[in-house]
Amino acid sequence: MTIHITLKELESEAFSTSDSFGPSWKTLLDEVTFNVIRGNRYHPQNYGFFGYGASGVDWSDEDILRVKSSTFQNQIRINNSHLNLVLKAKNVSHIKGILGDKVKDELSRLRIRTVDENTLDVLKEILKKEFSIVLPTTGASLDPNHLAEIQNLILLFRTFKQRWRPEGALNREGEPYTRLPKLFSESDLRKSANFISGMTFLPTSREMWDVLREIIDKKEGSQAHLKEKLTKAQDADSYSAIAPSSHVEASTRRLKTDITDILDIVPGEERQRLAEPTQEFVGLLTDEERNWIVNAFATKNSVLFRGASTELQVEAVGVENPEALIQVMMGIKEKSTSVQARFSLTEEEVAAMASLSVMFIDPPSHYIVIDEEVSL
Amino acid sequence: MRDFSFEDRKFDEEIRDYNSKSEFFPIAHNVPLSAGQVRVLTNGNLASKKIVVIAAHNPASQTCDVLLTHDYVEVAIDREFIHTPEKRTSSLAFTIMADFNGNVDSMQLENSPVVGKLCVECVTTILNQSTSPNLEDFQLPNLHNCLKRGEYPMVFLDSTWTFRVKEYEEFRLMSNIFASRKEFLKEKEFSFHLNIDQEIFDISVIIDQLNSPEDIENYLKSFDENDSLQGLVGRQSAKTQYANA
Repeated sequence: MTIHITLKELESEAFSTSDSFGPSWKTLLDEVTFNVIRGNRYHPQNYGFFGYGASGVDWSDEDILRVKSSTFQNQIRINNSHLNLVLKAKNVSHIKGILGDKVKDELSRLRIRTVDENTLDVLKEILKKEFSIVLPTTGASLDPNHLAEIQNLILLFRTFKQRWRPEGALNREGEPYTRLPKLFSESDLRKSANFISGMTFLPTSREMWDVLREIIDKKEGSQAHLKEKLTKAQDADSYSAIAPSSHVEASTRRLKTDITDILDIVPGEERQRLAEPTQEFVGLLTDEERNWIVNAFATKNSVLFRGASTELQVEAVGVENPEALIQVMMGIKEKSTSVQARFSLTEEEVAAMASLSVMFIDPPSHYIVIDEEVSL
Repeated sequence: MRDFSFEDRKFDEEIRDYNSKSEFFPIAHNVPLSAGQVRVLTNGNLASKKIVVIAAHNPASQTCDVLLTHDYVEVAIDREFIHTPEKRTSSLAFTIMADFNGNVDSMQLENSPVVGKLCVECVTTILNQSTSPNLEDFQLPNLHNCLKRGEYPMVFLDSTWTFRVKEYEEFRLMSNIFASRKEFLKEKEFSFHLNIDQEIFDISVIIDQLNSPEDIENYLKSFDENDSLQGLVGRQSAKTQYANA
């Protein structure tokens, strides 16, 4: 939804004494935060939020609102940044762009830190306080002597002992604390800072980041470990397999299996009780029947699937004709009835079981992209 | 459309809290230029805007010496002075780039509202020091703590460095360019005085022609409601002249 707000409105609101961050600013920040987060592939887990969807890369609206609130508190409120912004802005798009940068800055601030980052920060602090050095953003990355010096720095780091403390080293979420523990002792880091200060060209922050990634073990809490975890999650992302045409790209987010929605519907105790019948039910299903279940219960456009034309349903389930589709549905009904009889389940429990079965089904071989505008 | 959730309500409360607790500097429009004012500097086509502090105003040359500011207060270096939002001075947070001053035409600032008013002594001191290459010279006047000096260390080709270079390039395009400042200002002052002399001459010629009350009535009738400044001045002068006579 595009919201029409003029620069004049924003300006008069910003400089009003009673309502400086008024409705127009609120709406604009809301729009920008949603666009930035939904338009980029930020992993919610990296920022301390629970990820939704099959691969956990979906953001809930509440979490996005939390980011918005945090952006306001930390990036706008402290310095009344919106006043500077409106004075210097050329148009509303310009303001949106800068607000977007502020949301990104806030996301960087919220990002869960890794051991690598801790080490780099401590090293930077030593360099700044004791050697008056700030690592530059550009450097002599193509100079052979500089590269040789970087290699020597890596060798120096390899001589330092890495202090991985399994107990107390990570917080309850399995991530390192904001500042501590330090992976290397401060005296070791001081040695490396001394080495850096003597280098012909200072290494850039990026180069130091690479050096640390090279030498830090791939253990829980390290950048390499986090990256591996996210890559695995990405690979498991079932919908990424379907991208036959460009318009699918935009629709794919709606298709992701959202198990959490189902968990919300079925209470915890019932889930435990229904685990055994559900597993048995899934074991009886054919591939086509599993496809139907996933399309009908697990995608965000399940409602659209159930209301879609038979041709689309046939394509989604991966059967040849409408008759086969009916057979699939009959098969599901028959199998659910048999499980119902065996475990003495009520009609509601059977419905819950059908929803829960999604959790036991591997990513389906067929998905369908239903364009809302066409289908509705 | 999203639901009006708990988070939405919480955010509304935060905004209400901010709006009720914040005390803003009262911005003023149509105020004559003077040293210490914080204004928005624009060039002709409004494509670029900078927030500047007027360090000196020269009415004769119709120019101002201004100090450039930026709003990345967290990376203020030791050649910059930080201003934190305060009702008395300005609601904006910015840093004055003490070594970046420029001479601009008054009309580039006149239309902008005054968004702050800083200590004139501090601003003048900063302007006087701004051309010094010596870092120790960048100091506020004794017993003044109106601004806070930046501490972020700057390194050659660091992001702070490149940011400053870019800011100055843009600022330079908005400032007066001259080979000799003295000659430039002298020329501007001369043309300003020349214009005034011309105005006075024109008025005296008109007054000489007004010899009776009828002449004055006819003269005043020749102007409509939207008459020019010259006409207004002439009319006032004519009235005074007549009254004196």
